Amino acid sequence: MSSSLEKNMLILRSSDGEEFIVPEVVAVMSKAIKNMVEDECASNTIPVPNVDANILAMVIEFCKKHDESEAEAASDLKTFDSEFVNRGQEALYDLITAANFRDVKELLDALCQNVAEMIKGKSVHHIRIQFLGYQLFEILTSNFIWNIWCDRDFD
Amino acid sequence: MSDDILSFILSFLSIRDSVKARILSRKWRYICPFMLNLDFDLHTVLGINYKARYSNGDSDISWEDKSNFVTGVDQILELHNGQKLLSLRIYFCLGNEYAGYVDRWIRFSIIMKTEKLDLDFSASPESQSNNLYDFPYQLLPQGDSSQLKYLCLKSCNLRSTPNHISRLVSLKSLDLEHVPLNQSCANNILSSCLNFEWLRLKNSILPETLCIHGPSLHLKILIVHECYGVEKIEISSIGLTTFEYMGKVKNFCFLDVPRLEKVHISYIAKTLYGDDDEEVTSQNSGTVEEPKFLGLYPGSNEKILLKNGPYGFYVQLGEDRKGYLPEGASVSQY
Repeated sequence: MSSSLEKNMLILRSSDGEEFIVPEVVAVMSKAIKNMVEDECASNTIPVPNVDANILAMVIEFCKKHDESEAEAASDLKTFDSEFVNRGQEALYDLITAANFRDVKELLDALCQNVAEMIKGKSVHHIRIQFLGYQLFEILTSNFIWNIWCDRDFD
Repeated sequence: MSDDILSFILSFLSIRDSVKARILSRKWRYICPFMLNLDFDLHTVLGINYKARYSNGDSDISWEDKSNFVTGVDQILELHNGQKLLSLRIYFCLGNEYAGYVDRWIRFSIIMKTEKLDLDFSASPESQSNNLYDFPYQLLPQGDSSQLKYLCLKSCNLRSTPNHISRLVSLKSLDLEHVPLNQSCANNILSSCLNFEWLRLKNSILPETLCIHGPSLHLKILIVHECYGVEKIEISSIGLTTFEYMGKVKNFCFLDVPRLEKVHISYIAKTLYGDDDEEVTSQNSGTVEEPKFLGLYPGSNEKILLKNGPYGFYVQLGEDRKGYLPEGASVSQY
């Protein structure tokens, strides 16, 4: 065990080898990491496979904010969440995958709600254009569409 | 992405939005948002805001809208692949000409072990169909396997067929509005629905003398609101605790109601003045001042009195302290 490391800090290693030093309270917001810590099967460095440094940094940023702002007003946190999830679809896809795999409930909630907002109230045509070509939402390439769901969309 | 995540995203959406998303993707097509209650109306299926669209007095729902509605409901149910559906509510103007569709939806709800079925085919009084949908008892499973506990029918027909009516045996609550009911049908329901606890009849055509009799020990609450054609109401129900009435009937007969605790009766003004053409429907419960003698309490032989209070009529067990006897009240004896 690295002696320089403070007792309540953990090191997370991303899939591309970058290491992040985070307080344990932040790291255990991921249920998967929490289980590892509780089962004492975690050494001081916890590998986080499938999540690259870029995405891991985002997830840590989110968890840190949620950890710090327990006392803060809920509306501030909501604003932070909605700004945080306002990203391109590729980042959203990676974040959702990471949040799901590492079991970070707050993050997953915020992300999925954001994707739902992207669909809400839009026409079939619009949803199709918006998601076409992205992984997030594997759009049919054929033109098969049930008509009754489209007729009124251009009202 | 995993099915759980897709299903979770869809659960944030309305029925209409989730269908729009699902029809676009092969992968999403058979992902079902976790929904235990399905609610179909003009807004959820067709995305039409009823008030905005029909506020200019044009209340007729077009044939095209109806056809889109039934197709839409069919498609949503086809996509629904949950294991269980707790409640199904359909609020739209449909008559018996759409029975083929509605029967199919009811069959679906039976497979999904739905407990609450709410069919409101009135949508708006103007657009009400003369051709009321016949509720299909015969589709319900026989015996105890039926899960249906709450049935609410508006602007439907409940035709009495003694063979099939016994399939309503699992029902705990029945709410009928604009549903014509004859005495034999009422008898059939009361004698076969042994788990029955709550019954409401509203705005319905009833027989001249409505008899609520039957061996059912469980009927606890009976509510009759503004029904037509009824002159006299006779109640003999051992388990009944609450009776609520609103309308013009003045002749009540409580025969065997040992557990009756609350009676609330309010009259509608137009009937008190005996003028059926008058359109005033404001409630007026201030004209009967004498307490009305209803009968004797079986245990103690105390008098049960129907009295007028600030919130309508109520029943009092025993007399006032002053102990005066009501005059000229009609008596129902047993």
